[in-house]
Amino acid sequence: MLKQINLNIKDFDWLIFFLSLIISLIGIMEIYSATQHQHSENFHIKQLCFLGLGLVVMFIIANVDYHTFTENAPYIYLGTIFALILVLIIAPTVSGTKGWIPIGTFKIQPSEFAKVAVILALSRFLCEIREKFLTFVHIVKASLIVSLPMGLVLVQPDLGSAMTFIPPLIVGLFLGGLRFRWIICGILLSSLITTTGWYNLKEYQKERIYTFLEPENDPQGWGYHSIQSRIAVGSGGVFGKGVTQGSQTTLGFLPEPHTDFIFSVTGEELGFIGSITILGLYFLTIMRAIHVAQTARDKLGIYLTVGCVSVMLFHIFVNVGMVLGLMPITGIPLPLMSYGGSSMLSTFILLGLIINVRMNRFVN
Amino acid sequence: MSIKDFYEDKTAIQSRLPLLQLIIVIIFFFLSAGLWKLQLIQRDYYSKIAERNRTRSISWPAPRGNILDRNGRVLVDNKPSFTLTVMRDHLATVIPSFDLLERGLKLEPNFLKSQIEKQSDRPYYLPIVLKENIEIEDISFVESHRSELPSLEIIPHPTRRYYENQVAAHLLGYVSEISKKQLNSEEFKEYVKAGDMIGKKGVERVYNRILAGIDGQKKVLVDSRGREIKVLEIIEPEPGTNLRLTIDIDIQRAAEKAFGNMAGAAVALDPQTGEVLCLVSRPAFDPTIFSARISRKEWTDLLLDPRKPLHNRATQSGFSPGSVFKIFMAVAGLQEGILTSNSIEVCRGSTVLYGQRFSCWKKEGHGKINLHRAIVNSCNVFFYHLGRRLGIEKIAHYSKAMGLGKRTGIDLLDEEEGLVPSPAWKKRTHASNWYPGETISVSIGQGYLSATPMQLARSFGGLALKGPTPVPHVVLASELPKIGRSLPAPLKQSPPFNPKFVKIISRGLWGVVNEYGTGRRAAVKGFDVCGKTGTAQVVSRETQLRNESDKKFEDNAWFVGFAPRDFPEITAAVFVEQGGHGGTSAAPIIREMFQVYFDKYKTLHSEN
Repeated sequence: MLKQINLNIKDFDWLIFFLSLIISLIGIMEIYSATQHQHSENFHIKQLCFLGLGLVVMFIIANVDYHTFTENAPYIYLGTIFALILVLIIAPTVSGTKGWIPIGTFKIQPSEFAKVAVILALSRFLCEIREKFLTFVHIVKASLIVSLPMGLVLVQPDLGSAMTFIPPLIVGLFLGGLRFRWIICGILLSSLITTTGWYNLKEYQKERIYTFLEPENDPQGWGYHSIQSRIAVGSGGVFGKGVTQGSQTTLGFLPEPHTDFIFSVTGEELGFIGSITILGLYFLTIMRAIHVAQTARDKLGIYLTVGCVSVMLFHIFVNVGMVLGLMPITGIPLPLMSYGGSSMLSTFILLGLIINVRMNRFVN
Repeated sequence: MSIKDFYEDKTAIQSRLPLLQLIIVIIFFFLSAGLWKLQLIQRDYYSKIAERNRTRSISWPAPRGNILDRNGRVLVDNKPSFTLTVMRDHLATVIPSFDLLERGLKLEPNFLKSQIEKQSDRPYYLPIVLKENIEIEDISFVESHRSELPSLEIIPHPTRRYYENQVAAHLLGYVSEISKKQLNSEEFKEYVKAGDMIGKKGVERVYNRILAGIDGQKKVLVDSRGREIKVLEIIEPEPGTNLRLTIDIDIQRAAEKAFGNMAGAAVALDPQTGEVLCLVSRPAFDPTIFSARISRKEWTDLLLDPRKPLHNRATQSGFSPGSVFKIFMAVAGLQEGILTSNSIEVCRGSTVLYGQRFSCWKKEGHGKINLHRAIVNSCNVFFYHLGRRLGIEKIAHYSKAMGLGKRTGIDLLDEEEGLVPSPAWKKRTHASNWYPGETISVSIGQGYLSATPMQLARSFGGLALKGPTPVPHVVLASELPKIGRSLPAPLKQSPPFNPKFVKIISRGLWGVVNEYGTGRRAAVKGFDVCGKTGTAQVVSRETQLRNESDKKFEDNAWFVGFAPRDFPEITAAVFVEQGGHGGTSAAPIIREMFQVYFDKYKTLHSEN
């Protein structure tokens, strides 16, 4: 036992640890600034608690051989399905969607944890395939594994979170080996889904796409968020206005500054230098994770790591893209920076899994 | 599992990892480029918008100057009132609460929505007016619902108050929001901005710059809900200057009242100074309806009203002067030596000239008649013969010398020139020759002749004074220095009138009123009222041009006169559209006006 602990401390991926810690702390600083007028709510304190808890969870997850998780993947998966169904039944409807189950004073968002379950299940399924290329049956099964929880999340309705299930699937299939014909099928299928999906989108979701394309057409409605975010970021300039000095933030022009638009606050207050630095930190983390994948012991490790990376990357891409006006407005949090216990925890779980793979990279 | 299995398994997958790395790099590059664009390239643009977002420049309107009559009585001032507005940026936060607002302010459903649509093309930075002249109850409703309606603003917005309702409406004018066209016009562009209220007619418009003052400004820091956090800068407004007119409101009121339901105009001047004592045009309108944003319907109703209430008949319309013109004929005749006080004509009820029959209004004729009696009884035949002897050129010459056919120069807008016809004029406009018969029509003030009540009043004044007539004006000369203007030079007569001739004519005019002549109803006891009645057969030149068909119109009635005879202090012209005989309709109005003047100024003098 002691020998194992020694090994663990030495082999622990301190780089990822420190990167995630720094990003989280910057996030807490900006949450503090963004909620200046709501200090009674103590968002920054709560986030600090989530950080602490997250680090502990990351540590724990990292130290249990990941094979243990994947062996129990079916149970974890079923548990997640159950939780998602529970959400549909008992969760209160907030702004037209059901997403949170209240437990005491905290809220749990099962869809965040569902991603972990899907990655585990999917990775386990894919790593057991011997063929060099995936067959049609493989693709269907993999899609089913992902579609079930994704569908449950879609029904909430939470289109944004549901979309985050897709990158692990695509990346997983890609790694598994897709014949050219399946790639073509995939493209056709996704076009089909997009067009039929378009007609089924709720009005407000369509509005979001329209205003993404031309926010100036609706400066008071949906375009408002996009415009205000760009104003905040753009006016930050090279050096930013300084922590707690962001005028757009403090005067209330940014919507959801401590959650979805935390990067706008950062852009306004820390400027280009600060923003690029944070992007750099995320970049380092992601690339480090890819390196872990390259040196993983087995295919399972690779699938797990890359699955985690894809989820995190998707979040970063969509959230920062939205803040910069490059993507439509969605309700996807920025990992480690957006306020939210479920998001923090699930991110640290993902990071924990990545560290786990790294720590177990040597064949014993 | 053999080692070989491992190796092969992983290689396949691992070979696909570099592609993922590439995609990751591309994504981060894409995001960095986005940052670069916003924060480095477009930094200034966004800084400016951020600045604009959170600072608000609120216009602090300058109170408009009051308008007073010559004795300092207030004719127009400002009523403090408040307007409910919202900034365009915050419309989204307010629209959901429109139902609540409409109920609370007792508005029609969808009223607020139509307000927004109506103002959709105004400049973006101007607030949208939701409701004007809000009551105290409205204000308390909005304030008590602040949490649901945070971005509404209540702005003080003085509205113009016209005390006299319709009295002197055309003279005073009205005030309303500046139009897009006017924003760029020479008249306004130097000192106005979109949304300003400017004078649109009358004194309000001519003297707008002085009355308007200069708006101030308050620059405030606001949060995203438009709530004021801090005042950054204040520039106090410069109030408009009060303006004192030459009008005597008592005379004005008396004249307006005497008109009753009739249409027409009345003008009274001080002949020595040119000060306008009253200026009436009927029918009139209430200028106050323009202060609130007038509805399209009310505006079109006014425009399309066949009685033309917006038209200023005192200065903007020319009419046939009828028998009043005989005085001009008399002046011409005397000055040319063709006529003397002893000249006699025989009136048999009509005469034939140039192969046409020209009638007198008295069918039996006046018999043997001299100049004096011809004036007192307004004999047509006398003047027909005079006209034949004078010829149109001389008639035109003297008419123009006395001020007809050109603008008086009064400080109001769109003054009508009137018309004094001549052979040259006819050649130019109708491309035909002058017929001698037309001279005969002109001799009794018919034909192409056209004059405004203001021109006639001024001409009579000049006659009575025997000299140059000052330019009529509605603002006291003493006010002019503070507005940087001065009185224009008076009209010169050439040749100046021979006092002997003036005496003959004045006696005649006195006789019209006081010797049982046609104008006896204009008499005021103790006041030497003199004047000439007129009964013009054809309505205004505009109607002539408008109506080709031969409609039967009631004659227009005139009375133009002055008092007292020897040193006139007031001259006036009254015109009653379709009033029949001048003596019947117009003369009594003159009496009302002169009576007020007499009571006010003459009795005082006699007491001293």
